[in-house]
Parts: sequence; structure tokens; C-alpha cells
Amino acid sequence: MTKKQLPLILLLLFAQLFSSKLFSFTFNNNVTLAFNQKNVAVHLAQGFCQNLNLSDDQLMSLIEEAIDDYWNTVPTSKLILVIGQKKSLSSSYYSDPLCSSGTSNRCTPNVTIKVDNDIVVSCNTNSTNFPSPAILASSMPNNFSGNTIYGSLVLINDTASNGFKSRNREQQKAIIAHEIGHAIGLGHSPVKDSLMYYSDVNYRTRLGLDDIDGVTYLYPKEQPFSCNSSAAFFVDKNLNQQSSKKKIQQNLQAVKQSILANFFSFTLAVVIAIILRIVFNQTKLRLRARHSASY
Amino acid sequence: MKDFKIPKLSWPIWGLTLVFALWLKSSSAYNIQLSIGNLTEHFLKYQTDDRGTKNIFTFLPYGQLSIEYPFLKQHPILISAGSALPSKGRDSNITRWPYFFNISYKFVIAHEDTNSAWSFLAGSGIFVTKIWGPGGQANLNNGLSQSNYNLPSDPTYSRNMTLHFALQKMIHENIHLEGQIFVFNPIDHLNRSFTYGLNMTYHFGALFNDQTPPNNQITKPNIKPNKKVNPHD
Repeated sequence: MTKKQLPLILLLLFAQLFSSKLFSFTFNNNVTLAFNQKNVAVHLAQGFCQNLNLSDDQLMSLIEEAIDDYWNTVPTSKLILVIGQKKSLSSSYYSDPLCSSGTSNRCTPNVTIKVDNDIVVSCNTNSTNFPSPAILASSMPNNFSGNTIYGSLVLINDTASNGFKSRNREQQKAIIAHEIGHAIGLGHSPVKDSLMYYSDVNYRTRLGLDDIDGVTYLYPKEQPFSCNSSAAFFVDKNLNQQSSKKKIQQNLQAVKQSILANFFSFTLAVVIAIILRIVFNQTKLRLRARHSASY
Repeated sequence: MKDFKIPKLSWPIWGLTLVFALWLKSSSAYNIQLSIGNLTEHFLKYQTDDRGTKNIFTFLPYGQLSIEYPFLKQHPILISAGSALPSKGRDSNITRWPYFFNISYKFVIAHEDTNSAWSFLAGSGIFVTKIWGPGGQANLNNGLSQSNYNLPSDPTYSRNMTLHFALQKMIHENIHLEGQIFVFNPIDHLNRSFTYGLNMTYHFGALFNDQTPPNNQITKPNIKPNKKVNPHD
């Protein structure tokens, strides 16, 4: 190490002292819940939103951007949210409360608006859900058993004086992404840089580290393959032979994929390295030739 | 129902590669290296305040132990295991521990002055993030009043296959500076991510070899200087 390099190293160590780290996330009330499947669709209850100044197509586009700009960007999570369809649902989704009874701490989901599977986004005008225009949206997994979510409902405040319509597009996108965060099992975070902070902030374009850690905790990436779901052998005396065969085929498929993934990544790295080496050698030879020619 | 899990195939694959490398050159395994540095996870992937500032540098000290095997002449394979310190954030209930394993192919970029040789590494590995907490609940604002929200309890492990690239620069007979990068999900544009590490590495040299080579035999090949050629010869 030379004297010239020492200040650079000291500067690096100094910069480390003033950087920060943050992670603090929570899950939905009462119990830690998560979807069991890797792909979860987000649908829209069509024809309900009257006071948002947005058509159904515009809302679908907003939802798609919300999932792609936020939750689908987490590198360490296996969860993939996909845009679903416009669904015709009963008017209860527009008028009913989210909880049939209980307080904000312990809510009993209203079974009349239970979502069978995946996530549904709907407009809603119920005054129990939205006692104030400042409450922009409300959501929760409303169909679950044990620790598994089967369906979640996101309600957007569609009352005449709702605060949602006065937000700009980026803020609206962040609000929908926040609610989808609840729908997939996350609770609030106490830090402002997190999307799961209880209030919207002036400028939000990405998740915070808390959000990344929270969704990673609930849906950890399982590369090269999953050990708990598709790649697990379930041996049950009551299972019929056909479903066992299907399971084994799925497992073999997962094993093949894992071997391919390992092989692919190592080979790709070696190929890139060899190409770089060839390029380097060519450059070196040219330089040497130029160097020799100068004598 | 009893749940039999397939053994995690990734570990045997990497384990076999390690055994294979040891078997090939067990008598001449040398150049044990220890690195200390800082890791910045998921560069520009998340925001660090409510004004939209993206993460450029975060303080996460890490250590890495590597063994270099002369798999091919002048192109050794480097097997590394690294770990950041398990750390708590502003919420002291949650602990997070990133660690990784890599196998990389090393190219020594020849330089006439062997004490300042550059090397390039390319390979792949597995990056694990372990997150756990004590369970229980936190009382937080829910928009209207306060609610209790659950905290994490049992540990979960997120495993990512990564591509790994590094650039090393010798600055001393036994020390090099290194910048390395881990590429997560290289073929998925939405959740592709880059984690980079900057470290300083000390070369301990041979541990298993009786005929101890010089520490820098691999990283600093003996390259003859260009010979001036007389075209009339």
C-alpha cells in the first residue's frame, strides 16, 4: 500500500461511519399470514368507482404499475404479482364494511365480501371503512386459514369527498401498492422511508429496505428450487397413486430445473470470463504490436 | 401426513465441486485469502428517506475467506465463503444476516510490474439472507389510532443464485484491493439487483503444500518484459 492509496482507504472507512441501515417491518394484525402460491393475481371489481375520476382501464393500469414498480422488484422474494381481470362482483363490495365486528385491533372479516382467491381491488363508500376523507384506502386478507391467505380485499375510498382523487398519479400508485402490501400480509412500519409507513409521503417511487425485508421474510426466494412446496415429497397413505405420480413428476421437474440453473449460471459466468480474456488478449497483442512497431 | 423433503440439491452440487477441486490439486492447494470490507446490498433498489433518495452506499461490514486452486495454469478457481455481521436496525427486534458462497474463475491480467497486477474474477454462487426476530407485537399507528402488529419470529432463509464478478488490484506483495459485484436475477428486468462489496484482502499463501510457492505465484505470474527485437536479426 502506498502513501497515495492511504487517504482513499481512510475516506472509505469514514464514509462507512455515516451511512445508515434500517429494517423494521411488521405483519398484519393478530397472526402472520402469507399466500401459499408463488403467483398471485390482482383483480379489479369493475364498474364501482365513480368518484375517483379514473376509468376501470385507468385503474387497471395503475394497479399494474403499482405491482411492477414496487412488489415485483424485490430480488430476494419469490412472490410474483400479476395483473388479473375486471370482475363483476355484487354491490356489497361497494357498500359493505370490511369488518363485520370488532375494533381496529381485532377485526372479524365480513363474509359477504369474502374474496375466494387472490386479491381484489374495489371502490367502497362505507362510512365505517372511511369515516374521514383522509382515510384513502383500507385492506386486509379476509379469507384465510391458519397461516395461509386465500383471498384479500383492497378497498379504495370512493366517497364524494375522498382524498384519493386529489393525489397525483405517483402518489395514487404508491397508495395502491401500500394496500397490496397489506393484502399480501404486511403490517405497518414505523419508519417514513418505508412504503408500509401508515401515511403517504411527499415523494415515493420505490420500496424501503423494511418492505424488502418484510416481503422476503414472508416469501423467501428459494433458488435453485423450493424445498418446501414443489420440490417436497409428500408421502401420505391416503393419497391415491395418481396424485403421488403427479407429485413425483413435479418434483423431478424441479430437480431438473435446479441442475439446469446451477449449470447455466456457472457456464454463463465462465463463458463471459473467456470472452473477456480473449478480448483482453487481442488488445494486449495489438498493443504489443504497436509497441514493437515503434522501435 | 409426513413431509419428506428432498435434500437441498444446491449444497451437494457446490460441495462436489469443492471436493473435485480439492481432489484435482489437493497437493498443491495454496493461497488462502482473508478479506475484510463493506457490502452494499441491492444498489439503487430502495429509497432511504421520504424524499426519494436511493441507496448508494450502506454500512454492512463483511468478511470473506477464499481458497485459490490452480485449476488451470494461470487461471485458478477461487472458492469463497463470506458473511456480513448479523445486524439489527432501528427496530432492535429484527435481525438480518446475509452470507454467501461463490466459485469463481480467475484471470490474471498480466502486468510487467507484478506488485500491481490486476485480476478479474467471474463465477456464480448462492447468496443467503436470514431474517428472524423474537416474535411478539409492536404497537403502531394504523391511520386512525394504534394497533398491534405482529413481529417476525422463526428464521426464514432467502436463497438467491447469483452471478459474481470481481476486480482485484495488488497493492502490496500480500495485499490486494477488490471490488466485487453479485448479480441477482440477471434475466429478470423487474427484480434484477446488484450488490457490491469493496474489500481489502490479505494473502496467507500456502497452507497444504510442502513446496510452498511464493504467495503471489498465481496472482502475479512471472512475465518476462518485452524483448526489443532487432528486425535485421
